[in-house]
Amino acid sequence: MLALCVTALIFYFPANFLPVLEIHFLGSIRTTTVFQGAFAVFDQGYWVVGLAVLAAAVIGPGLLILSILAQILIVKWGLSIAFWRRSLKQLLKLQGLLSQLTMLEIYVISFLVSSFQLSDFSDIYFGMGTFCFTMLFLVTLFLQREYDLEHMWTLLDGHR
Amino acid sequence: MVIVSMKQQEIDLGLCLCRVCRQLNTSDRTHCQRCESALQVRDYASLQKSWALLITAAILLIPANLYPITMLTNQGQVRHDTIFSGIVHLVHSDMLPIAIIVFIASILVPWVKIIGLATYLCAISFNLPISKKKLMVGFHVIEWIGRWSMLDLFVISLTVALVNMGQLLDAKPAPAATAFALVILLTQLAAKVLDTRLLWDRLEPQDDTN
Repeated sequence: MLALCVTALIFYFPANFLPVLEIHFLGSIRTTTVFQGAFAVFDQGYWVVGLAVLAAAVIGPGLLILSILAQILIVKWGLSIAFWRRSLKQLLKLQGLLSQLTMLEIYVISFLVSSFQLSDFSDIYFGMGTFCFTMLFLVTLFLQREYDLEHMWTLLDGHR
Repeated sequence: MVIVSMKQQEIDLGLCLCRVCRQLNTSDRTHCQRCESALQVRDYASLQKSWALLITAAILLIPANLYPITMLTNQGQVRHDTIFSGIVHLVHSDMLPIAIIVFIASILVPWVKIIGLATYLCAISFNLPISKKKLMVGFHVIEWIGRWSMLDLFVISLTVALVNMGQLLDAKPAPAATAFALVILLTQLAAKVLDTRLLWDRLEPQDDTN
């Protein structure tokens, strides 16, 4: 699980900050990243939509991976210290919310949908970010499959 | 045969489930022994909260469908697209599979979710004779499919960021996007705040097994 976590973290930054889609229209080329996507709607004044996209595609997965990483580290080395036990308890309580907030699988489908929609009037190419994002999604999928919330609670219980 | 409600059984056993960490606690406790969250045998107020969120979402669904969700400028011509007209346009440009995906994510899912949740809440509030087992399965399905409505918002955000070439080709979000985002948020919250244990309290003399 530690390995999956580190892999996910490595993919996280290129996935969000490398261009995912590239459009060629009448000779001009535009690219976009996941992060820019959220901010573009934000700039147009639709901050609710911007926030929703940002939370579900950027902040959610990031916090989820960091939270699981912190939990693993605490379980490995910090369980004997009261402060770390308290932090682990808080993290476990937030776990359900974080995993609901993470919507990577939907974003991967939305690459496909938007590329088909735009291919109507221009040429669309996938960028390096698409690969990283899909990998991030796959790694996170396996990470969530390995992760067992009830097991984490038992580990915490064992150290009371 | 003496029929005892689920709640009575729990009180008799002296047990109470923590809604945050799913630990069973003895019911003399006020806070969970594991995660220290406040304990309640049943959260009756959650039914009202859930109704309130659901009704708000149902009202917002009207502007989300009637107002345009995107504004596309193609070589000087401005086109406003509502959710439905966008799908019709996709069908006409021979992209049926994509049209089906978008139709499911942005029209079918919100409607199914709101109608399904309303049925669920009615069954609790007015004791409708619908099998509890079916209701519970339906509830889990609703919780799961709800996320897929986000697809439309992701597509909008990608398109808006990508297509910005002034009069030549330009995409902008339109008012329905906010309403649609709120519909998703509110329905997800309505499903989340509801204390599903309330469903199991109803007495069913005929088939108590489900």
